[in-house]
Amino acid sequence: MKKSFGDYRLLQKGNRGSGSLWLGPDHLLTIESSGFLGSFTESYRRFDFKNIQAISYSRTRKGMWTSILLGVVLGVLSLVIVNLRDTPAAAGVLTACALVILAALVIHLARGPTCVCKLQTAVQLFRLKPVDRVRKAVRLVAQIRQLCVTHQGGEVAETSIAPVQPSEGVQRAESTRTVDGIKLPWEGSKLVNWSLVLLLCSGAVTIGVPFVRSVVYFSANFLLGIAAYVLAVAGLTQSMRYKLPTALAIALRGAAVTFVLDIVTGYGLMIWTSVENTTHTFRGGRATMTADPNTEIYRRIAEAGFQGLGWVAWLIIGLGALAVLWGLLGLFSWVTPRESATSPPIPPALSSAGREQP
Amino acid sequence: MSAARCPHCDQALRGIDLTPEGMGTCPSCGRKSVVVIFPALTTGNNTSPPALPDDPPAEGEAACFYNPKRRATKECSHCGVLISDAWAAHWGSDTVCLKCLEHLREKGQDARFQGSRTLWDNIALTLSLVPFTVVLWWAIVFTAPAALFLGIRHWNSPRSMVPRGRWRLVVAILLALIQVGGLAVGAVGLGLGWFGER
Repeated sequence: MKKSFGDYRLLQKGNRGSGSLWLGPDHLLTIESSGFLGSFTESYRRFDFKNIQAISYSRTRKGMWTSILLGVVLGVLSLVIVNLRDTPAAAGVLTACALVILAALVIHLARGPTCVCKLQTAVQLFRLKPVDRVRKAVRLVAQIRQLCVTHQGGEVAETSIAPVQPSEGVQRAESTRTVDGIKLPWEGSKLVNWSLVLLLCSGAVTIGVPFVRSVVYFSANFLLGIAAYVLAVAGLTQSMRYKLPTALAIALRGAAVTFVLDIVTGYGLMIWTSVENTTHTFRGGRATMTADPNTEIYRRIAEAGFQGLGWVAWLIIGLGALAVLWGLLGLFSWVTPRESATSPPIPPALSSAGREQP
Repeated sequence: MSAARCPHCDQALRGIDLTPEGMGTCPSCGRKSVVVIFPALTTGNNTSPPALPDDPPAEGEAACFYNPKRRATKECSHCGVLISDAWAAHWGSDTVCLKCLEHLREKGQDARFQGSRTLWDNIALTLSLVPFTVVLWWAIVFTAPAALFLGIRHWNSPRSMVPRGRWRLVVAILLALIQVGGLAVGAVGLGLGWFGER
């Protein structure tokens, strides 16, 4: 991309078509791209330096979740590669994929924490999409601060917020119900509580799947898991408008992620079993599928046992342990006492004459 | 707006709602933010539009071209007419009348005034590449002619505001020509029975 054109100089370049930021003679130019599979249109906005009231940025959790996702994918790929020692071609392809993901993870971590940066004028609060990392935001502020001050006159009043630790006795401002858009304090929910209990039970039952070779047990685990995760996702959706305790928020979000992993694992198991049987048949073995192959696949998985499942057994145990962890974490936040706002001081009792008594 | 706003939840970061330590955690979403405030926030220079004179022009005074009841205070730098403040738009050092502003944005394609542009070179290139995807190979019948048409039709159209060459259009036209040629050969071959028994 060009670094300058006309009167403009490139300030920030975004990723994946999120646009770019350009420094003009007396204004800031933002170029935003939009389209499907590519940039089909560009939108231009110009902000005069004399109109910019404030620039603010704050860290987001997007970077953390991206790191976790890439790490999980890398871990799963590594497990698969280790167990594909007998097929070097497939192992080679997967290794190449894993290296690409590893490179993406390293680059992501090297670029630093993610943030959201907004520019405030008298009429709007505009998000600067190219500025998606804290380092970029710090650089942007350093680049345009003096220009804004010069065009507006006066001193810059920077309110830099270091991580604030409230001192003892200082109560954090609690959200109220009276202002729209503010998250309400969490007061508990039966739906969430039951989902956590079910999650705990489901996780314990899942851990036993590789050891109990029974269709009934497998079916009970399947149904319990569905109920637990559906309730957990419903509870997460219900709780979005509330300010959750940290442990509970982590537990519900972790349960949602584990749900997806469970689905992927189950689907992968079915495909693997089906492919195995087909391969066995083509090599001259007796076809083991009956007229209802789906039922046969289900039965084979349920009765495979620890040795039959191989490394997948450890994956199932790990997923069960995760579900137990989320359940315990969520229940932990339930049983620990929550911070309560101080009640207003009790006024002194009035005497019959209406005068206060000490 | 007279207060800085949280970049997460857009709520005003007013001192009265903040923690006793000062501007710290946002009271509504609980997120910590860094806020750099400029004088424009506190001076409130931009919170209200400028007052317009209500009295009509006196004898001999220039009147606004679009509203004769208002005094002319400025001259449009594009068309040269005399206009009042109500009909003037300021763009950097230029002053243009509202009609010229509309013309410059919509028809004149003046880069200083445009709000958006369609990137026809990207569209043509994407259309020419669509058949190479596994699932959309069948769309070649539609995308190849479309890519060829767009590439030729918009050869001279403005591209991105950031200057760039025409290589996207060149690649799109070349690929589209190859695909259209292949379609033509295929159609002729099918008609003459090249791909089957006569």
